[in-house]
Formats: sequence, structure tokens, C-alpha cells
Amino acid sequence: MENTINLKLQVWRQESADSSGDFHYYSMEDVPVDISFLEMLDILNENLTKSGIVPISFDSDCREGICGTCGFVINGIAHGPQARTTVCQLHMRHFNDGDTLVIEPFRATPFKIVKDLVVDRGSFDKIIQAGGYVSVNTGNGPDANSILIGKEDAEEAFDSAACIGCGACVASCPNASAALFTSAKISHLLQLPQGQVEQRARVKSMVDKMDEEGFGACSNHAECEAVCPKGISIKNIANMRRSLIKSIVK
Amino acid sequence: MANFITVSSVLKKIIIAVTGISLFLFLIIHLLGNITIFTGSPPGRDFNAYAHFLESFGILFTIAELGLLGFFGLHITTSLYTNFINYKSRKSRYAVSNFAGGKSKKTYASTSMVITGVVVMAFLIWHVLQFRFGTYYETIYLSVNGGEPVRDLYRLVTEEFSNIWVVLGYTVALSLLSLHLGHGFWSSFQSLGIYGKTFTRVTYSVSYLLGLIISLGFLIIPLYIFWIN
Repeated sequence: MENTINLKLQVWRQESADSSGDFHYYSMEDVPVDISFLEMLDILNENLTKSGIVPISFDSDCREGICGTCGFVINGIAHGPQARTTVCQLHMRHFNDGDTLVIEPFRATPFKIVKDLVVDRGSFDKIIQAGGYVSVNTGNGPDANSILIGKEDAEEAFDSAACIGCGACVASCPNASAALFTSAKISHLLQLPQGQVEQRARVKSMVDKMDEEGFGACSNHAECEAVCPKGISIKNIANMRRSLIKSIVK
Repeated sequence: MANFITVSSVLKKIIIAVTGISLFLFLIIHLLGNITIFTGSPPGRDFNAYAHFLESFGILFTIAELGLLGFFGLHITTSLYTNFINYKSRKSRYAVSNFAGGKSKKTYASTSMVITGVVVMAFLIWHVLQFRFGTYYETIYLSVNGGEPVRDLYRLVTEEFSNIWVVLGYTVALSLLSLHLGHGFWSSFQSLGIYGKTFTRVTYSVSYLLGLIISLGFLIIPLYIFWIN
């Protein structure tokens, strides 16, 4: 027989960016433990629709934990209690029968709530636009292996590049700082020869953009690393700081 | 020199880290100096001699004091301003806040740095008024200052620490200082971009211990003096 649990949900409902939201309470019975958190919300939404209630809005896309679209806060922890997992890959077996789950959107001033659990993470795009790229001449792609990169450098850069930009770092940071996201992008390019050319201008521009968007300062709580579905290390934040000092000292 | 307010958040944290680690070193020197309170005969002779030795530097001593004041000022103002920005960056608060555990270094100490900091600042003002600008007693030791009177700071210290409320005040402030240093020590290196897998693990694991040792080291004095009286 399939294992099921009963849950009490306390979900943040907000009509639009301008309206004030509040919590709504729902009971879920016989939730199969092998479904994902988002599938549990899908079931809830079907039930709400049948009862003539507007379903809960939440973001999701690949549901494989690789796209970075989904995400909200469960009982005060971004992406829920399971480490290195997005909410789409979080399964109900990690919860106990009778649990009360408080579900809130990612809260940060730059992340405007669009509706319910959906937030606008466009600020991240603006940070990328400020320098999270390398300038290359157009034309054919360069030959593979024309620039040799050491194994360790390649691995380190790849670890930084694993960031999927979901925003959990900002959501979990007591200061709503985007330091982990921004530093992962800076660090990724910093560790590759192609990225080093524009490094000085990049780090300054991206850090300034991060501040301008209204994110807080990093106080080294490292809560971001703990909730990051990709386990991005705060080492990247240290890299960003060293890079910024170098860009000033020259 | 860029305008202080417009300096990026990363640079502000670097300012906080540099001043913080300097003040941490100052605390260690202060603590080492305080050991003289337990040595010498008659009691307090070494302590008064040490205080006199520092004052004998004259203008250099005043410059050091002003420098220290500057470091405190920069540390406090930059931190308060950063905290104001951080507060604005999340206008709608979470109904539930939690600790993710695992790799997280978020603690009650790390999230209350501004509170412990402000209490320590208030304590610092009280502490300086109490001793640096406190009652001026004089005493004579033949082998100190060539037999001329020197300030009897030891008498003031013993008088102040005979008051239970003063001792309690110090206990509270120094306990909070231990938490402040506990997050501050390892965090300063991280803010300066000094990260190493082993280095960060070691600094983080000794950080709270160092904070505790320093605070206890300071706290021994009021407790010791209170009990012997």
C-alpha cells in the first residue's frame, strides 16, 4: 500500500505586486510520500479549482532541478529542508504526518512579488547584463582546445558555473544579499583565460549593479551555501572580494 | 577618495573587516596589559606602573588613543550604515525564520552583530568614562617615576569593581562581546577575500572559542576584585 501523509499548509497568497498579501490555510489529506513538493501543490490546486478558488501561483519549468525556475521558502528555509535540492526535486517523504508547512515566496526588496509565490528575479538578469559575459568577435566558434585550460581551473570554473540563478541565496540571506549569485558569475569567468581580460571592469560593474538593484551586503552567514541547490561555495564570494581589491589596487 | 556612502557594499565590508581585525588585536594587547593587575607587590604596583609607562609616551600616546577612536568610529559608522541598507533590502519580513544547518554558519551571534555591537559600544563609552576619565587618585612608588606621584588607577579599579552592579554590567557586556568576536573573527578574513578550505575551517572553528577566551580573560578582573573585597 502506498504511504501517505496528512499535512496542514499555510500558504502566502497575494493578488498582485501592489496588493497586501496574507496567509491562507489548507488541509491536505492522503498525500503520497513519493510525489514532489510541486506535485503536491498541483493536487492542491486541482482541489482549489474544483471548489471555485483561484489556484496558487508558483513558478516551475523543468521540474528536474536544473533550470532554476522554481523556488519558495518552506518553514523558513529556501527550497525546504533537504540540502542541495530545489522544491521540484524535494519529495514528500522528507516530511512527517501531521506537519504544518509555512510556504512563503522568496522575500527581498529587489524581488517583487508578482503573485502568490511567484517573484520577479529580473534583478539577476540586470546583474548579468552589467558584465556577466565575455566580449567576443562574431563569426565561427573558436576551435576546441585552442586555449588550454588546466583541469583544476576547469573544474573550479565549472563549480561556479553550476549556479542556476534560482535566487535561494538572496531569499535565505538575513540581509537579502546577492553576493553568492554575483560572485559565482564573476568567479566562473575569473577562473578562465577568456574571462580574465575584462575582469577588472566586470567585477566593479557587477558589484555596483548588485548594490544599485537594492540587495544587501554580505555578512558571511553562509546560509546561502547551505540552501543552494547546487552547493555553490562562499569561496566564490571571497574570490569576488579579492578580485575587487585587485581592480582598485591595480 | 570616493565618497564614503557611495563605496560599494563589498568595500564597506572590507573597511569593517580591517577595522574589526585591528580592534581584535587591540583587545589582545589590552588583555595582556591587564595581566599586570594580578602581579606586583603591593597589589596594583605593576598595574599602575604599566599605566604610567603608557602615559609616558606623551603625544604618541594621545595619537594612539585618537587612532583607536578613529578605528572604532569607522567600524561603527560603516557597520550601522550597512545595516541600514540591509534592513531596506528586505522590507517584507518572513513569518518563519530558520537555520538551514549543514554548511551554514548562520548563528544567533551572526544575526545579532548589530545588537551586540551597539551594546558593546555603549559599554565602551561607559568603560572609558569610568576609568580613562574617572577619579584621579595619586600614589607613590619609589622605583616608579623616580619617586614622583603616579596615577593610582588600581584604586579606582578596585573601588569600581566592588559594586555588584558594575560587575553585573561588565558580565553582560563582555558576554555579548564574546558573541560579537565569535562571528567577527573568522568573518573578517572572509570579508577580505581570504578563503582556504582548511584556513576557513580552522578560523571558523576557533572563532567562537577565541571570543569566549578573550571575554573570560577580561571578565576575570572584575570578578576577582569583587571576590577578594
